[in-house]
Amino acid sequence: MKANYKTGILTIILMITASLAFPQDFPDWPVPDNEAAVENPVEATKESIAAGKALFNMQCKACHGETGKGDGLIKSANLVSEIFTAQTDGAIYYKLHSGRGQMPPFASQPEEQLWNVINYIRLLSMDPEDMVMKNAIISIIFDENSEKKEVTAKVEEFAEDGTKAPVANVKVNFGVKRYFGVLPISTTSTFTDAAGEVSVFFPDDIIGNETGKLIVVAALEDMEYNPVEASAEISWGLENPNDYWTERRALWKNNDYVPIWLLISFIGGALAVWGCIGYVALLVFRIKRIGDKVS
Amino acid sequence: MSGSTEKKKTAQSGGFEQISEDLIRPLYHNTFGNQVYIRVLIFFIIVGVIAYGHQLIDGLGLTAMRDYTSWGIYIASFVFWVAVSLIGSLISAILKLLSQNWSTPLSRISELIALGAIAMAAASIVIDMGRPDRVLNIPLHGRIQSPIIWDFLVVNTYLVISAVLLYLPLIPDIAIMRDKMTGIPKWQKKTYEMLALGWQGTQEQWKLLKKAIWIMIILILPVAFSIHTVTSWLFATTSRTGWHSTIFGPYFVSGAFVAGAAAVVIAMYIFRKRHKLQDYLTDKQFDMMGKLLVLTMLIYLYFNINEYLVPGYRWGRLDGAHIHELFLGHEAPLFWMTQILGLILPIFLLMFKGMRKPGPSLVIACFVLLGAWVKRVLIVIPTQFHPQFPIQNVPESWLHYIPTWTEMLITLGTVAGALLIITLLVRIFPVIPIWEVAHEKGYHKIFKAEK
Repeated sequence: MKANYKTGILTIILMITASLAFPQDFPDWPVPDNEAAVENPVEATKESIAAGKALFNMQCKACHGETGKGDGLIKSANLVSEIFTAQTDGAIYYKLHSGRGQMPPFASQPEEQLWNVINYIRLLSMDPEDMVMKNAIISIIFDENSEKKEVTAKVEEFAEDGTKAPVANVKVNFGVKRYFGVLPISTTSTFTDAAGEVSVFFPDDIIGNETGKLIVVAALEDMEYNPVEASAEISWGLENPNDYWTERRALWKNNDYVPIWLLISFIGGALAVWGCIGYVALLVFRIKRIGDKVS
Repeated sequence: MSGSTEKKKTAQSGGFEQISEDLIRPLYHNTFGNQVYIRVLIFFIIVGVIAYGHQLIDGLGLTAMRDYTSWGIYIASFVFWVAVSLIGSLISAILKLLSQNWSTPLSRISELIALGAIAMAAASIVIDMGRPDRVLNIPLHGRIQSPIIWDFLVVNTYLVISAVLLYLPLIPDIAIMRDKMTGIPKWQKKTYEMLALGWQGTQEQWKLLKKAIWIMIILILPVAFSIHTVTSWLFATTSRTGWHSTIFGPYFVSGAFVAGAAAVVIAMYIFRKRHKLQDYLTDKQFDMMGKLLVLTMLIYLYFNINEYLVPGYRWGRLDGAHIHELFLGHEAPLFWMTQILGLILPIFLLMFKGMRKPGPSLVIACFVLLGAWVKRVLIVIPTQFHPQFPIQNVPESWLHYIPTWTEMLITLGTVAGALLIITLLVRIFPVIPIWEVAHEKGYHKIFKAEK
């Protein structure tokens, strides 16, 4: 009987484990020799890698994961594995272009974009230990009274003698702080010039607070520098006339804005019911006291 | 109590001795069958706990729940248990307030079912959580606006009320057992002594007890209605086809009485047979419960017609897909089996007097109760395959929901859990309220001070 019971439990555990089914390796994906021999015509410049990263994040990250390890939403190829990185750029291009199974073909993308993505994927498999990151400082410059509404970010680093030197050709992302993150306001590739500066025009349709104030953020994103960002309050936003709902209590808002009627009925109801239960407990206690006295 | 009061009591109450003897007698018999039964229940609970341990370690990935079906049979079971638990309020409160004296012997059965069911409802919710260690975050950080917070409050409140309403009418019965039962284990005697609260049946004690019972009987009504209405709002307040219905509250409450009444009929039959209570659970009780079941099922049928006819008439994009799925599509066999075998046919059959006899009503009640469980599954799951945005480019396993072994074993464990709670309680407490039945039969002077 005891042995049977144990076998039963074992069977159950086995069944559960089996249902997990470990992922198998992907079958070989042969690439024609002439395709594999194609050389990457796009140099791995910062611009190319930045464009590749943008496309990677949009089209590849969901399945292959942020770091390309194949740990995204579904079982997918590990882009930083030795088997993968041993391939030529041409072979990877062929696979991106033609697709297979759950990997969709990206033939509709411009050729250059696919090469950009390949340049970015190559970067993913680099050992972070080998990449010595430098520190930079970033500042935001703007003229609040200017008609042009231009925001400039200046990136500098400290030279060995302690003086500040501009950092050229690094990417700066501009954005506006919102409730749940940063809304990008720079859509083109924004790289610093020889003076370490890059500017964007502030869009005229961004809503600020009731007086039009908002926070502009400029963030440095580069593979040679540690990420750093600067922010500044600017009053270039549209005035938000519709603050009615942000100050009002409503069912869909957080606990600080509970509707009064709900607060009263919820707490009132709970107190009434638990008050009654408490009163009954008191009655039971009195029954016991009488019982103790009689006996 | 002294010997002289004992004698006087017997002389005054006459048949009361017979009643208390009949109802206490089963407590002496721990049959072999019962012991095996309890061990079987414990076995299923252990299997369920092991499966749950597995789920706790490896996460909800062991279930068949995925992005679209994020509520599976755990939540369906939760709704089922809440539904069944409502019977405690129907029989102990509504029928009592309506002076339906035939239901007096059923009040304890219904309260036992209510307690077992609501305990498992609470358990089912925790089982469905990926991180049950964070359960306290619900009261600590929840939004008062969320029906889940309301549900958390009412489920716990109803659990307490059910336990209190079971206990209060038990006090005089426990005192009877304390005084009358001999040759029982010491722990049992001690338990009775402790739980009887020194009950002597003085006039003052009766007054306090009756007051307490009346408060609870009235209090349980709004709480019972809110628990199942709030449970329905967990669904109805979302903008999902098949759920976003304004009648979901009464639809759930009426369905709950159907499930609970069926559970009572089954329990009645089993206790009547096992405890030889033919004189107390008579054909009259089965006849009336059968009629009650027809009434509740007719109301439930009425809500069913509303629930399906109106969206079926509108035939909106998602409503249409949902109703098509239930009526003619993938879920149709299960749907029609549930509706016909669990609702329409039982209504028809129970209209005949012969079908309300103990045997036939047991069979019918089993179908109704099983149908009630499947109906909850059909309410909870198919809706989730009709989201507002079309389902595209998702892994194959997200497109259907078939419960895994883990889910089924854990759910089975909760069924065994509810049955074990009831079984253990009827091992030490009489399943028919002794003093209430005695009152019903006209033996009023049970205790010395009651005049």
